[in-house]
Amino acid sequence: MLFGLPYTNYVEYLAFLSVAGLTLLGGLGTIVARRVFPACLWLLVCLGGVAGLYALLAGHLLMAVQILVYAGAITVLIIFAVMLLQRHTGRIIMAENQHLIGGVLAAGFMATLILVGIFTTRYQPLAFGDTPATFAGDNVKLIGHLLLTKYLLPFEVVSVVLLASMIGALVLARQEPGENPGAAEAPEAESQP
Amino acid sequence: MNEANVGTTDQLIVNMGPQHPSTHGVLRVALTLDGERVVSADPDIGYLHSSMEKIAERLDYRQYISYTDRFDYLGAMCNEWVFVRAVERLAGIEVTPRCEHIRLLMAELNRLASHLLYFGAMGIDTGATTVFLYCFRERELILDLFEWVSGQRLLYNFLRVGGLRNDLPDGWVEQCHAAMDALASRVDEYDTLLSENRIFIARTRGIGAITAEEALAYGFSGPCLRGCGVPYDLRRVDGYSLYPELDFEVCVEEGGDCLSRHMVRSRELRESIKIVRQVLARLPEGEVNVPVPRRLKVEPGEVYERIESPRGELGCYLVSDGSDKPWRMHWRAPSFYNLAPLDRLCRGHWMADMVAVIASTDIVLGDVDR
Amino acid sequence: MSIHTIGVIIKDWLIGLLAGWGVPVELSRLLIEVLTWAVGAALCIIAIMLAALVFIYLERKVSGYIQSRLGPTRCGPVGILQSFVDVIKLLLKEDIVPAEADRVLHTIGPILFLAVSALAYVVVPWDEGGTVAGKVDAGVGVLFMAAVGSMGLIGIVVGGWGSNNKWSLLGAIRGAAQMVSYEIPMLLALMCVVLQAETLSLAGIVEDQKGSIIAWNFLRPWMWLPVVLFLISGVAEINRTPFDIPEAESELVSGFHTEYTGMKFALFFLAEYGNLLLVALIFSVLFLGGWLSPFGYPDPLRLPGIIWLLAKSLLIVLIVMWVRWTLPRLRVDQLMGLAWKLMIPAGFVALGVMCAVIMLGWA
Repeated sequence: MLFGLPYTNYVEYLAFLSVAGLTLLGGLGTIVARRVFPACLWLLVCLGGVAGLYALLAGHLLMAVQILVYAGAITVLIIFAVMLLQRHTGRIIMAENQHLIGGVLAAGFMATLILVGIFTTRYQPLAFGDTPATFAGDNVKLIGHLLLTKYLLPFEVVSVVLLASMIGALVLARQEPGENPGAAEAPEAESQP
Repeated sequence: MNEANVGTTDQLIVNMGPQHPSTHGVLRVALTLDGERVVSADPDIGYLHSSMEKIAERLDYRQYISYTDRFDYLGAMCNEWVFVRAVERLAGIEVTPRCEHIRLLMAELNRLASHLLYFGAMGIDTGATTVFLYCFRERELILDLFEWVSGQRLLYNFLRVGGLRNDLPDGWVEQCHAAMDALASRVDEYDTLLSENRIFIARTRGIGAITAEEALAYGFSGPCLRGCGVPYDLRRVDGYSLYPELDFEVCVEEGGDCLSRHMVRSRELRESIKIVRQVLARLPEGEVNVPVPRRLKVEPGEVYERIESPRGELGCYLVSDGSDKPWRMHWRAPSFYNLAPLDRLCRGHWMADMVAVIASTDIVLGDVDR
Repeated sequence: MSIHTIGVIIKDWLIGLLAGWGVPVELSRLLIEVLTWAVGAALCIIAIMLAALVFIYLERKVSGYIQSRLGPTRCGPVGILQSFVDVIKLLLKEDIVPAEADRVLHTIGPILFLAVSALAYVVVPWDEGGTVAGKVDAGVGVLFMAAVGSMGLIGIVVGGWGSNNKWSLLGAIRGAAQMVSYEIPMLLALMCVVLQAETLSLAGIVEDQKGSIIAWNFLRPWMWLPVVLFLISGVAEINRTPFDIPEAESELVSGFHTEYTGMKFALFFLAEYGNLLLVALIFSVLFLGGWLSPFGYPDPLRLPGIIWLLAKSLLIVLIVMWVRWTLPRLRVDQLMGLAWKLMIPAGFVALGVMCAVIMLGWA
């Protein structure tokens, strides 16, 4: 006990503050960074910080999914797009805050939602490091069960959205048969030094 | 982004070489890539140019032999052979039968050494490093033979106008037999390891394909041309030296792609072993040298002599003004012609195929640049 | 005596020691908890370093044996000190950053790569109760491993991009595409094992195989396809021949690490061998019974479980090395074709078979 609080609380606060600070830093870096590639990496820091927050809340599944989907897949996709665009063309893409008003509005809306969520939820106090008793130590099973029973329809609708976007990507990227980019642009290429 | 750009991708220009692990020396290729597809491949040569042909005008015939070693350094015996044959034809010198046999033997051994190096390089360029070391292990047997007979492992300076530097040392023939036996048993191993490997076949079949007509138009020769289905082998077509009397097959493959060129060389390894064994069996006794004046002057005139080097038709064009030096000489270097259609071979293929194509044409940059 | 028991003994001893000094039990428990994390994190890095030290030597000797040459012989008896000499050489090398490169990205690339590799080690069950992050593993071990594994390519991408070299960039793009693609069959193979064991915990998967060698997953016929899929995609994930296209030496000079020397290069190297060990460890855990002895549970030989785990992993590592020194390299499109046209459908087939097996009650 130190100043009337258990020692574990201090560790917990310390851990929370550092992870939350990291998340904020990442978010700030993302919007402040001048060039797109470092902005992507800051985004990665931010998303990693969110995963850390989930871990502190003992939401291990959420943490793993956060890393897998956001840090591992989405950021990589963004980086991939930036990389392909930028180095091939030789231009450095600058992160210009063109949509400032829209961005502020969207951020304000999100912030309101989150704040409302924070202040209207009733919390169960838990000891540091404990898993909520209702999850019985295995929230994976619970989430899986809910996804396949109560939330089956939304779950399937989301997968339809993914399918649609996949087909859309295929349509955009598809080459017509016989349209070989190498052969088609060959005459142009010869005039290059 | 303007309208014309929509749906197209930007191109990437990269420099492949002159310091690149798989350009087989100092070849520079200016590559234009669309993603990883080759849009154009522009070979830039000349990094090893050393005025071989001009130097010949300042050296007498004997002195120049050691220079001939140095352009196609993997087929040095063949280079020497074609040069001394040209000089001998101009000077009207007839060499002894034993000398002719030994020269042919050396040329075939050199072909073996060169094809073995090709095998290794092809392996390493497609990512199979082990076959490279296996081939070098066997190439070592042949280089040992060369070292024993000429004192050199790469640049032999062994042939002379009118003969050889020296006769074969005692025990050399037996050693050569042993080397051929060792090699014959291991060629199949290379095929199992590389030529019959599914990944290797997938990497080479249909890659860098060229038709026979185009190949002829580009001046292809040697295994590259025979890989297109043209049975053009100077050893049979010209029938120079003792080749008409020897039993060997002209290896031809139909595909015109990397795999065909590879298989031609793979089969030629076996054929060359066959030739070496035949020559060893019928090697006559006797002198190897005929008397030639120290300061050899040949009649004015010109001559074009050609032989089948490991890389193709190696030609030596010699003009004499009657002095002891060539008035003009020119090499028809097979690598130069085999490299010429690089753009045609690679266009539309993947960047990784470039490496296989360059390896399959088996160029030697010294030969290209001279 | 398992790692877990040793840990408990050390913890109790430390608490006793601290109590003797007048530290409150609550505080000392907390301190020890924090200390355990730190030691666990350090162990993950040490595991990678040891793996690199052993595997550098092993790879050279194995490749030497396969290629009918000797390998290292000069440093120490039969060249056993070669890895140490390599490390010293790399430490002493000048750190070169290309003039036009992005200095920061160039530096954090290898660090990210190694960090991610080390992170995955926290869920490896070294022994009964011997997982560094047991709580994470108990909930989502497999998922965590896959999630962290999917971040490995960020190090490659950042390093390749930060080098400002076209070859490095091509290598980075290839690496990213390859690792994203092969993650899918790998996850599908993992899912089969998860369904079999009915747990996401790696330790739980080992528990599920308790018994002698007959109870291990690789002897179950419906596991044969996942075994093959996992081994192939594992080799592809760690960028080794025949899937080493991101660093294809003969095409891309060295791909994403063309511009790296000295310690930064060594970090890439460390992480690559760390990943090799990781894939071998995970393979052993999933299919070869992890730390279980082949003679039954409890082990009649009374060996620590970690020895069995390492022995099995070594076997896998040797197989991977054997493959590396035998096969040529696939081309980039063939590599993608293999993943998307063959292995992912095969993965779904394996998953379907696994589901059928569970429905029929054979599992």
